[in-house]
Amino acid sequence: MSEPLFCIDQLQVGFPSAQGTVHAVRGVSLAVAAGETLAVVGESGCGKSVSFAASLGLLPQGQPVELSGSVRFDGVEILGLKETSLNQYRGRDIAMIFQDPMAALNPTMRIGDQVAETLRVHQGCSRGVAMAQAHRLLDQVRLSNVADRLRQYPFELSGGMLQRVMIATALANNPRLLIADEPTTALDVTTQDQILSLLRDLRAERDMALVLITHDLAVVSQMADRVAVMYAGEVVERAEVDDLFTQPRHPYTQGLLASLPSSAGHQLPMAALAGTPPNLLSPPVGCAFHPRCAQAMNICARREPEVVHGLACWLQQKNREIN
Amino acid sequence: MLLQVEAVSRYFKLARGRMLHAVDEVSFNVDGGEIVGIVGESGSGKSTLGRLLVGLGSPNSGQIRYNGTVLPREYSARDRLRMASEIQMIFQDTRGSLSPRLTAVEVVAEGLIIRGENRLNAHNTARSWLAKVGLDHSLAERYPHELSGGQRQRLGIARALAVEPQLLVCDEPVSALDVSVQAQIINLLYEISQSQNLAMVFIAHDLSLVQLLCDRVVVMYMGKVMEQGDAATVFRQPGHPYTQALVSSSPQVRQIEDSTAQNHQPIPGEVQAPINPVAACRFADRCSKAEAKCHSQPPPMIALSEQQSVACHLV
Repeated sequence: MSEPLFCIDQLQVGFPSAQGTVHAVRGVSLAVAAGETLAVVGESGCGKSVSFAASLGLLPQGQPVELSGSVRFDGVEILGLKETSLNQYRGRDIAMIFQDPMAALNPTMRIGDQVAETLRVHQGCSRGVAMAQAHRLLDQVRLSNVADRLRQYPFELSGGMLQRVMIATALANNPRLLIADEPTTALDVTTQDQILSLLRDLRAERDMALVLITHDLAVVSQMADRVAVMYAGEVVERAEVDDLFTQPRHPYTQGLLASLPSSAGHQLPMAALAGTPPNLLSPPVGCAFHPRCAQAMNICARREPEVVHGLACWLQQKNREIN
Repeated sequence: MLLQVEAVSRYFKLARGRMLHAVDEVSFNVDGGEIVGIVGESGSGKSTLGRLLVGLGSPNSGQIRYNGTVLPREYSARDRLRMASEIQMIFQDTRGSLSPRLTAVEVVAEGLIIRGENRLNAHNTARSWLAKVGLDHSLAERYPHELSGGQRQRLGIARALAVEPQLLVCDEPVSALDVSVQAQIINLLYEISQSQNLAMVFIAHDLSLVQLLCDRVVVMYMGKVMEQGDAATVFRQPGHPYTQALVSSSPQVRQIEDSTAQNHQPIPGEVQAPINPVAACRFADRCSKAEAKCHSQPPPMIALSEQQSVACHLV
């Protein structure tokens, strides 16, 4: 069996701070194949965005970072490559869109020029060709009045329109992998609905691999083929989307699902998880979730569970021994 | 009736003689102990409306009655002191809405001291409120920036409830929080509303949250009420095309047998700002069912049943 398009293997990322190293990502392994949507879900600070930013060399510059593990795109190791080498991939084979399109776009550059720029840089198109191409791309992402929009600046567009511009820019060079980091979190629901539907269609048309980083389980259930649930810098559960929502196995996943108002069965109080995620300066010994886990056993506080069938939990391993 | 909002409007003057109709002739009631949800997308006027209820800004027209008495348009210092013990508010931005210079216990005690209690009593009462909202006593001397988002929202709730109001206005109280923390805060609000018989106006964009928590719901779009009624009825059988669109585009955890989520078509267009709106249905431009009169006449509010009214020409 050949390797999936994009593989992250045992990635570790640590940021130095005045109090010591913050272990933001602690041995994350993920893979996504062509034509597949992988959702990476977790609460703030679980390391879901940092894992991908670190993989693509997008962490803040000039800051010492502890980085180890392996990231392969199409079989080639890309972790720790120099900027110039990474730029062979970024914006070309691998594209990324972010939560805040206003911050990701250049405020002093017209919309048309921004989309055209990526074509000129990566494909060496002339300005005219790039502009015509930009027009076509913006049509494809269903932006309204494209001819006028090309000459407008980002501040003149709404959040939903800007997210379409971001997607057009990301798609300009026919990426094989699109990483979308909370692409609809800042948008209203009717606009979110439009953008998600657009992403679904584009992925199917282009046979792209799509990584959707989000905290919203409802969005995950509608978009993903496979899901990875992260907690405290680790992947605690990996599953097919239908299995995850019908039979969540990890107590953290179960707690997350129970915290959703739509799954509370119109009953209050909800079965909320107690407590808060751990401080990653000194993550708990053993399973990082054990201090909040209602089913924790002695071993959970002593040894870190191994990942078996995509699940990092001692309970499953105990149950298997009993059966 | 605890609170009666009667045809309340709030306009903001913009440059070049333009007028933003942020809240336009909105009417609804809140009974004692009742939880009323206000839902809508950004720019629907729901937050402006919430602020009007606590006297942050005054309506251009219409009136708000509290326990039968019309609230003054401009609050005097005395009015404000009196109303602050009756109606309180909690906010989405827990950092911006808490003084960075006061410790947790001081934040809660401040309102009590202003009301005339002595410092010692106020601090004792404040500590008991911190315990009631689930803040450990070890956190009492911390400053807001030393607390997590969920802890700060608990502190905001303790501050609001310490003066024993009859009505709590909650403006997106959990939308900045992670889901597991969000569930804790919603449980807390629910338990308090039950034990204190506290009425709430719960402003949110998350429909499933409103459906879970609220007795009744008001759906707003571009400053206008589109639909209001019993929460279960409105969400199960939305009468207004806008409510229908909102319900169908709200992400729900997809059920396995449910393939509609994949097939449904998003509604076109985006929310516009209600600047110098023409007399018409504000949703008409995006509505797939719109007819000629939807573009030329504002629809009246029509009662579909005792539990549900809709502002739509087509019902």
